[in-house]
Amino acid sequence: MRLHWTYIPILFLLWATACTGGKSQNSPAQSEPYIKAIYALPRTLDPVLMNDTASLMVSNLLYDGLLRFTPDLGFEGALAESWSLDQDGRRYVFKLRSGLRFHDGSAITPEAVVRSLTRAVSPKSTVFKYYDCIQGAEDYFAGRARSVAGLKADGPNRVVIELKYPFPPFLSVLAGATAKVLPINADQDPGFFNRPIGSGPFQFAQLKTSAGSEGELLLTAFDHYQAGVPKVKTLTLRAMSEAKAMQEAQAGRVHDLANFPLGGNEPVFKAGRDASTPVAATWVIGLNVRKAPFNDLKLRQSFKAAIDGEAFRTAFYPDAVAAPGYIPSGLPGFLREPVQLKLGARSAPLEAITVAVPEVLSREKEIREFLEARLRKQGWSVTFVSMAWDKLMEGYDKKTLQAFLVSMNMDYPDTEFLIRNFETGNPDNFSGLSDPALDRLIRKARGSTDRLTRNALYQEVARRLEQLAVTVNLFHPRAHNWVHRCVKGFVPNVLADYYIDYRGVELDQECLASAGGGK
Amino acid sequence: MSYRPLSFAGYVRQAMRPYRIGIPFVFSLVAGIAVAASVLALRANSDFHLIRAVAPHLSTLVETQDRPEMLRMLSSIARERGVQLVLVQRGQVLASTRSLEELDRPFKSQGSLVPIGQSHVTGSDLVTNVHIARENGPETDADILMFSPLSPILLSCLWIALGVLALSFAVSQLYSLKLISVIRETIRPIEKTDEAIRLLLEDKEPNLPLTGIREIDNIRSTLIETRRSLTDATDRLAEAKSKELVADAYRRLIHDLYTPVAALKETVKIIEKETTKPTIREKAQHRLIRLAEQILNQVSVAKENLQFEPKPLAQDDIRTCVSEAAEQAWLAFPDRDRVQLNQRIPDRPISIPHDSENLRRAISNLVSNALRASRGTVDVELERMESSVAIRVSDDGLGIDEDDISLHLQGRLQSSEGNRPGYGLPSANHIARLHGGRLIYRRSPLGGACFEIRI
Repeated sequence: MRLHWTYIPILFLLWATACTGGKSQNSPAQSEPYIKAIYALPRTLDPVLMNDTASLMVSNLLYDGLLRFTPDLGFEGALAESWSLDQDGRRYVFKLRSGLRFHDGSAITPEAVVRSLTRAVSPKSTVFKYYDCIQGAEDYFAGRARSVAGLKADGPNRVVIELKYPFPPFLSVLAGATAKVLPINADQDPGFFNRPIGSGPFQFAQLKTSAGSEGELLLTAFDHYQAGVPKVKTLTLRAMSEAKAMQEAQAGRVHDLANFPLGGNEPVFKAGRDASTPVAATWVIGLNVRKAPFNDLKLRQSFKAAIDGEAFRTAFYPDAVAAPGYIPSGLPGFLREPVQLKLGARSAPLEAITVAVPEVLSREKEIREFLEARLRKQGWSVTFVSMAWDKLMEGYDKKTLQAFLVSMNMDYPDTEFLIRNFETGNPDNFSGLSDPALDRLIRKARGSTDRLTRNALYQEVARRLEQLAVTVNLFHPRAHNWVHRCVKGFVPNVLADYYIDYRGVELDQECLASAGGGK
Repeated sequence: MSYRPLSFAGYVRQAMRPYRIGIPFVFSLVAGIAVAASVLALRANSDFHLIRAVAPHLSTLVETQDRPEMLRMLSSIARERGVQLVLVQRGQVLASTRSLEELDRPFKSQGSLVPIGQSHVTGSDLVTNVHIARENGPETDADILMFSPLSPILLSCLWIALGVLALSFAVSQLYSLKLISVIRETIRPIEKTDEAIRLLLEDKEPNLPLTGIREIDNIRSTLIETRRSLTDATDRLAEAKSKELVADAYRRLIHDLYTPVAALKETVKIIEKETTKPTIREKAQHRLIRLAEQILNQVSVAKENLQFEPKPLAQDDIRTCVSEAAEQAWLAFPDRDRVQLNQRIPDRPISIPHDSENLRRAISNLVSNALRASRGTVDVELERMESSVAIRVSDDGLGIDEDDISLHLQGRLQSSEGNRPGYGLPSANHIARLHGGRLIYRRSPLGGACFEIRI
């Protein structure tokens, strides 16, 4: 048979189509453990008690909620197959997927969803502030009701949530790391969170703790996960300091350092890939107005003005965005220009000031010396102390610290999340601030559904916060997520590293083999 | 390289091959380019208006610095439309669906290759850039860039071009086949004309119907006129030849008689000479008798050839003539019980100008010859042609050597009995020519000789 030359392009196209069409998109779960370095083990595995990024990260791996964030801050259904919102923006109806199972094989029911959200507004919850918009949440939180009026199971696969008022960021709250669904009897088992059962892409295998802040949490892929089995079979979260993590990364013994606030110019990036993206966070020195001398507004303003945030950013994180205000760029309320404070004559502080700095930071000593030297040069009696992460978080929770250096991350991408920390009476109000004018602005913004109005109110809140000087804004970080060169499918998340979706992450076995085993 | 002429259809097919292949390719190329240009222009216009449609809302989001909502909106558009979108403000990427890593980074613009309306084409995308700004709104100046990948558009155009190629190729093939078919139909009359010319060479009547094609009908007319002229010329030539034959016969008679007469004269001298011995005289007397007989024979033959002078031919049914001639010969043949005579005479009259007396003699001669040569069967056949008549006399004898035919027709060879010259064939030939026809010899289907008088 003779092949006429005019048929060749057609045959080529058919061949090309067959080649592209026939390529398999799926690959079985890999047995090679994926090792992720983290700055600390999770402080808790109970979603409604979580306040640190390590815990929030584990929450997103172990548990599923009704919704989840996409890498670009969109929403997609997790347990929910679909949802709807009524005309006045107060009543949500979620339809659950069929055949949902927890890691132990038990069915996920609407009652379990209601029970889990009820836990979020229970008196023991530390995240009540995110859910107080739910109808009846405050009564339940205060012990005035035995159930939450706004949470109802409706039939075999529907959950109804009613709000007290329209709250546009509520879907973000439900996609967040604290709105997770637990088995209905979780609270009846005192040891539940020692070996938690969720419905997320990974299931709990083992928690190894050791002296200091080191240890590791082993997770395995959930073979019946409703949205596809993760590509790595084992995910190890190994706690270590930032300096050690970079050493381990350079030696090829860990596969990502996304949990660490790296600047992108560290030597470790020569050996791996930098998946860089801005994140919605602000590095601040938080000032506790409950503690003298920061109970003095003028002193706080003077202290704030004494710290050159831009110099700090340039010295340590030059790739970050300058922070004229508390609200990160890319969110309503972001200030392009700093607020000029009217500073009077400053008297020297009567009491010495202590600022806690997390010891996990690799350049923690340089940071302390940099800030301390500059402030002392201006006459401030200030000491920057290195503090273990657990201890620092304990002081943060108990409001015992005078001042502390932290990165204020967001659990959901809305300015509301950040500014409500300064609302009077909010249990998470680290500053202890009580300012009726600020409270009025926050409430007004919360009740506004018009974008331009909300933005104007948020900017007013941001300017008011600057005048009240409860934070010294250092910079808005840009995440430099170091990943091993053999890692595929790693997509950074604009909100925070703990929302990175590890379902699609995998290790290139050929690359690992050529790299000498990858360890 | 050997010369191999093609059939006319083959020649046309070969001549059309470049067009059969080239035209579909050119057509599909032009169609592909036209479709690509149209699709790109439409897509650019559609992209531009889509961005313009969402621009007011986007400008609000830019004003409120609501990047999460910007990303959601751009992602939704990108997902539904299969494009990438980048929102740029003051040279920095504010939102992007291409990569989250380029957020807050300087926007790197790709070089423009071809401008298309509000858009331009880069190496891999159709890029539409729309400046958005809300009236009286602060901080809203930004540019939204939509990157529509070229590969799906071009792939679609390629498929369209291939479709056009296949279709035009098929149409071209069908057209070509139809054209060749029409050409075949058209040249069939030419082939018939060729056949007719060949029939003319064989002295057969051609059948040339009108074709409806002017050029070919002209050739047909010319051919018919030529044939008529040739027939007239042949008649004139036959007449001239006949006269020439008469003259020639006289010349030959005179020439042929010279020797025997001269010998007769010498023989007479010998006999009359007194000194001639009796034995010699007796031999001379015998020779004298033989010479006289020979002269008489020669004169007799010449008389046979010369007595038929051309006379007007009568229009009459030739069937009677043929039938009577065959019967006459049959009765005169003494050994007729041995031979079967078959006559194939048409039922319908065949009226043709002829001299029945002479023609009967000619046929009778041929039949007599055939009866003598036959081993058991003689066929006499009369056939009406379109403008002539064929009278065929066939036998199943030994036949005649074709090289001797012309000698037989001239009477220069002896009869089959070998004791006298053959008068029948020269006479029949002469009579056929007097009718403007001729005597044709061929091998008989019965195995012997077949003589045909064609007039």
